[in-house]
Amino acid sequence: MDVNKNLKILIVDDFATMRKVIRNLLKQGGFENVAEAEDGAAALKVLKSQPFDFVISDWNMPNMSGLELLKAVRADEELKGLPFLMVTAEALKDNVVAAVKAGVSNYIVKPFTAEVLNEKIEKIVKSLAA
Amino acid sequence: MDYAELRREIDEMASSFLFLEKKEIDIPTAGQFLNQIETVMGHAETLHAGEINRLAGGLSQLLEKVVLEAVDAAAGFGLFERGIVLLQSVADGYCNAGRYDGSIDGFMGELAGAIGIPMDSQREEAESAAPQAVEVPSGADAVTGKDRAQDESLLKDFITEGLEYIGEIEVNILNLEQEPDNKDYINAIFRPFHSVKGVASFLNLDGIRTLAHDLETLLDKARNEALPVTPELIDLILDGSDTLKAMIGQLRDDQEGREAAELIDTSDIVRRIKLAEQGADRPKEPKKLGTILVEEGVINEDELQDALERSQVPPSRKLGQTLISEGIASPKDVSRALRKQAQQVTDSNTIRVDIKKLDDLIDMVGELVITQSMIRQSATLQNLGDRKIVRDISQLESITSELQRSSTVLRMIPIKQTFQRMSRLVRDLSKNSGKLVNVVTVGEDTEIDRNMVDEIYNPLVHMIRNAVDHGMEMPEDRIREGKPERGTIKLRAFHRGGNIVIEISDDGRGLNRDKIRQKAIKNGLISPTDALTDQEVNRLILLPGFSTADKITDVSGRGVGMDVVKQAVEKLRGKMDIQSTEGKGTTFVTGFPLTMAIIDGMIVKVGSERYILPTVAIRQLIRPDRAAYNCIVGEAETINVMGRLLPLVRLHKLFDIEPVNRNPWEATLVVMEGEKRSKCLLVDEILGKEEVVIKNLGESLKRIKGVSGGAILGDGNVGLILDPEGLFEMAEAN
Repeated sequence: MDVNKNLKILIVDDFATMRKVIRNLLKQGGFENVAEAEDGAAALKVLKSQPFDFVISDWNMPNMSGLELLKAVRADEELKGLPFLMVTAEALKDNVVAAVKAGVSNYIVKPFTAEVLNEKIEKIVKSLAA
Repeated sequence: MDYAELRREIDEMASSFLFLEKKEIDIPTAGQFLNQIETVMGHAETLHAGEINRLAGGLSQLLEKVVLEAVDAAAGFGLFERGIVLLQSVADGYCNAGRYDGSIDGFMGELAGAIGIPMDSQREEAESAAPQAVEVPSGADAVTGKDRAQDESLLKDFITEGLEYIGEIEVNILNLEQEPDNKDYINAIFRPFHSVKGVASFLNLDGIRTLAHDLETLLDKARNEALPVTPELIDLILDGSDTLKAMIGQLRDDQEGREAAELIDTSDIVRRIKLAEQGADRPKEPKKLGTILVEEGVINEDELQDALERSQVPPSRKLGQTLISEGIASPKDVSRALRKQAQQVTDSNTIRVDIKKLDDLIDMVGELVITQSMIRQSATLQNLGDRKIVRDISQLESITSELQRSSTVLRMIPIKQTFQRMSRLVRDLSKNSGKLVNVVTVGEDTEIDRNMVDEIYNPLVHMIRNAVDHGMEMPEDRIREGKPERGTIKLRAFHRGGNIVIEISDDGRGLNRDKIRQKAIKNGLISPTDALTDQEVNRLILLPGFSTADKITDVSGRGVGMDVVKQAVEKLRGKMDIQSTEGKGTTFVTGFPLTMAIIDGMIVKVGSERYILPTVAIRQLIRPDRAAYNCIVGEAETINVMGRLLPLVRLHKLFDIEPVNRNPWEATLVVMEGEKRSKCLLVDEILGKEEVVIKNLGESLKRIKGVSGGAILGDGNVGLILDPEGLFEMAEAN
């Protein structure tokens, strides 16, 4: 089964260049239906106002961190099933375990290639479809 | 909670495992099990079910390893399955017999083997076990033309945004210096490094990534309190961010096709960061006696080594004894070094206290002083004629004032931090303007009320900017003048009376008094015939709208002149003065009260009302001759004060009170200084001088003109503290 390339993806990162990097990598994988938010609080607002199929979020952000965003999403009746991919700098055990316990769909370690990103997205979407 | 319930929890976990769709543990599943195990472990601990706790802990670690991809997912799945089955039977045992008769050691051993660590070392560094970077960085792929164009555009964004982000660090670091414990500030500094590192890793900018990573690690330690936030640490972070900035700047030059400068050497800064990190791991030990003596220059390294060796030879003696008996060091030197050593140990005898608590304490002490004073002045008590009461009250008085003195001292901190921030500012300013400037500080340990520190910062910054921008010459000009190429700015602080005096001196070009005079004449501030002393000419630059800088620079000369600084200083009830010698330099002298909580006031009486005038604003007190009084019909009343005609302000008129005396030659005049002018204030009587604790009048009375606050006077009555500038404005409006 092929993943629907028209997935609507929200990229959350406070660093604009980083959002662009991820956007480029997504584009290489064929995902072009992409929107951006600059921190967790902004992301939550966007997620509540329009439907999204997927969230890719940074960990460390002002106002609302990636983990806080994840917890808010999982606690929200409407959003709780949303696939959520966390971007981390290192595979630090404490961070990753905290995210996993909070219900993250998967995590990805910077820097990553378009292929790895693609793989992670496919894995998450397929496990949901199964 | 009992064993049956615990077993039910474990059974639930087993059944959710059984119903897994696929034979693998993906991340959401792992998360679900981790949470379930956590609950089970919590309950097992309360029930003292040791085996369950241990087994569940092992399974939790196994899951973590699977999540971190340190354990093969398929192998992990099999182990986990067996673990759950075992867990069930252990729970059964507890449920039926209150204990488990079998052994879990075999399985635990297997688990430990799979995880690759001994089971009891719970907290190992994940980094070592987890793959650092799971995949090969993208840049290693063959770069096609399209990718390169994309990378170029990303690089450009990175340069702009990266520089902007690192710029934010400086702002936050100033905040952090004020509140070294504030995690938000540390995080705000951490984040830019973190973001820069992230993008740099994608763009294959290894140097930047490594340095940003090192700085991030350092800050992480500070955040976790493994490393204290010291001025040295802050300097290091600033130097690190400077280096990072330079590296990104070089990228920009490179991209814009400019000649690439020499590659920036990061080895020094990296080494310093590593050293600082090591400092975190090892508790600070007091320096050895020998080290202190060598540092003090009493003995040299060789002498120390010799003496140390001889001290070891039996009968062994202490180093100090050896040094003295052999005449290498005098007993005085050794005992001084020993004292210094002892001091290092006691240096840690401090505690941190929330500033709010101190403020409250000092407030209450202020109230106590007033109450005490009310008791002292009570007529009833005085009329009792009881000598014991009188003696006790005077005892109470001396204790109270001692208490007030020592509580005010609690909030005092050294001016050191402010000076360090200013040194940093000078460094940055001089770098930008191409000037070479050293900073010398004297009296860094001079103390000032913590609440004043923030207030005085801005005026001081402006004076520093002025000194660097206007005072300092360019290096080539200085050489031409026969001065050392590198200029010096000296920051000096000391106590004088109840004030802290801060001097900012530069050895620059000094004030050009001719130019100042001409400008002042042109602006109509003085007339060409006015004979002014040098001092008076200097002070002209403090007048509004005065700026002699020929060009507007980035730093100063944007219309915000020294008058604003003077006003800011005066708002803090401070004083400001300028000394200058042409060609030699300029010194700005500012004096601030040590605290804003207490004001030195003159109590005056008008009719039956009493007011407090801030002593700093009072120039003199006079009772004029009748001849000194002038009143031109339809014009203002004036008083001739030593040849100057000053307007008369009738306080009773402003506040609508019936005065005792209406004639200035019968009343008392207070010559008050406002922002730009002086006036004579007519009052009935001067009652005395008193230090009063300032009380806020509250929101509704905040905007009353001419009144800046209230105070409870020694006799328990309330007196209003007057604001000279406000009074002047009221008088001028009439």
